Amino acid sequence: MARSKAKIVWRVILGLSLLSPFVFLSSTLKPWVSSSSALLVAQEIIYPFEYVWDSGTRLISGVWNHYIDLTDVSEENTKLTKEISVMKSQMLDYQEKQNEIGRLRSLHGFAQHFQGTHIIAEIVGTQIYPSFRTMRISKGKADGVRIGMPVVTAEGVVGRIIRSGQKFSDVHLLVDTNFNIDILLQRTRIRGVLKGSENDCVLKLNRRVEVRIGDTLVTSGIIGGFSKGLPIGKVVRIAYESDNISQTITVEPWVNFDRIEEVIVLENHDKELQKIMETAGEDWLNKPFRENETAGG
Amino acid sequence: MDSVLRRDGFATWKEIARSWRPRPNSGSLPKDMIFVLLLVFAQTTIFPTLFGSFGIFDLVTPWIVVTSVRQRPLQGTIIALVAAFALETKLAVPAGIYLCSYWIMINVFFQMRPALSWRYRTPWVVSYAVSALWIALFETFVLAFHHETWNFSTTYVLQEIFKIALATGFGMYLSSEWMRIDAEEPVPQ
Repeated sequence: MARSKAKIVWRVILGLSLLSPFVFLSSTLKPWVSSSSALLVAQEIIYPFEYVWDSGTRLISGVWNHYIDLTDVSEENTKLTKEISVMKSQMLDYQEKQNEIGRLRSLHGFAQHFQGTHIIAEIVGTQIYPSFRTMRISKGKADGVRIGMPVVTAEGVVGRIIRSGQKFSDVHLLVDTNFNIDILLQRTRIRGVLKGSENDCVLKLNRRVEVRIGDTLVTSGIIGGFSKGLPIGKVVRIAYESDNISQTITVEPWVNFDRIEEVIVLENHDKELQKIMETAGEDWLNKPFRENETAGG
Repeated sequence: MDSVLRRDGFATWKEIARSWRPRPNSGSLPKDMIFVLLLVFAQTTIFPTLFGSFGIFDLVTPWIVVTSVRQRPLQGTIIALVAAFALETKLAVPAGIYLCSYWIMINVFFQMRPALSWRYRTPWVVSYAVSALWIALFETFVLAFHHETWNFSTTYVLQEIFKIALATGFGMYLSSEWMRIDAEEPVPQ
C-alpha cells in the first residue's frame, strides 16, 4: 500500500518535472538579473576560488610574459622604435597641417565678412631689402591679381600689390618706407597718412590732436583701394616735436610680417592708380625704386 | 617512536585526502555540494581559460547522472538543483534552462534506475550519452526559440558532438568503480 502511494507521488513529481519546460518557455527567457546574495549564494561560494584562480593565472601569465617569454621583445622593440620615428615625423606633419588649417579658417572667416571677391595666396618668398620690403605671393595675373590690389590677413593690412607676374605677385609691405596709406584713428575718427618706417609705421599729426597709446588705426577707405575699417595697427609711442606744432606717432602693425604664411588679395582696384598706369604704363610704378636701387648699389 | 608518529600523521593526512577526493557520492551532502560547485567552477572558469573556445565542456551532466543513480532522491535533487542554479547564475543563459532540464533528467533516472543493472557498461554509456544529448538538444531548442534565427553551423554541430562524447567519457571514468565484479551495488536499496 505504502509502496503504491510512493509510486504515485513519484509519478506526480515526474509529471510535474515534464511540465516544467512549458512553464520555463512561457517565461521571459532572460538570465537571472539580481544583486541579491541570497539568490547568488552558489556564486558567492565559488567566488573565492575564482578570485584565487584569476589572481594565480594573472600572476603566472604576468611572470611568463614579462620575465621568461622575451624572445621577440628585442625584435619588437626595434620595430616599435622605427614605428615611433615614422609616427613622430607624421605628427610633425599633422601639426603643420593643423596650423595651416587654423590660419586658413581665420582667413576664410575674415574673407566672409569682406563683400568683394578675393584671392587667397601663399607667401612664397620675402625680400628684406631695407628700402623696399616686399613679399612674393603665389598668385599672379593668371589668377586675376592686378597691381594696386590691397593685401590683407585676418589680423589686418599687409600691403598692396606692386608687381604682378603670371603666377606670382610682389606685395609692397605696410612697413616699407615708401608705403603710404590713408588712415583713421578709430576712437577719435581723425584722418592722417601713415608711412612705413622699417619695422613700424609713423604717423605725423597736429599736436592738438588727441591720441593715446593703444589707439587703433583703421583704413579710411578714401584712396588706395582699401576698404574702410580694415585694421592696421595700434599706437605704441607718441613723440612731440620740438617745433610744438606736430607729434610723431609710432604705430605697430597688427600683422606680424615675419610670421605670415597666407594672405588675401582683395579685388578692390585702386581706380586712381589704374588710371595713372593706363596713362604712364606699368613701368612707372617701378621707376622710383629702380632709382633708389641704383643709388644704393 | 618518531617514525610511528610520522606514519600515523601521514596516514591521517592520507585519510583526509581520500575523504576529500572529488567524487559524486562522497557520503556527505555538504561535501557533495562543494564538489559540484567546484566542478561548475572548473567547467565555467578553468577550462575556458586554459583551452579558449575548445574548452567548452559539459562535465556537470555526467556528474548529475552519477548523483541521480547513486544518491537518495532528496539529496540527488538538491545537488542537481544547486548545480543547475550555479550554472545559470554564472552564465547568461535564460533563467531556468538547467533547472528544468536537470530536474527532468534526475526524475527520469530516479524512476528507471532500479530496472537497470549498473554493473555493466551499456547502461552507463547510454545514460551519459542520452543525458548529454538531452542537455545539448534542450539548450539548442531554447536558443533557437529565443533567438528565432539560429544558424546551425557545422562548427556548432561538431562542438556539440564533441561535448557529448567528452561527457560520456568523463562519466565512464566516474562510474568505473561500480563496474568491477566485486563492486557494491550503486543504486541505494
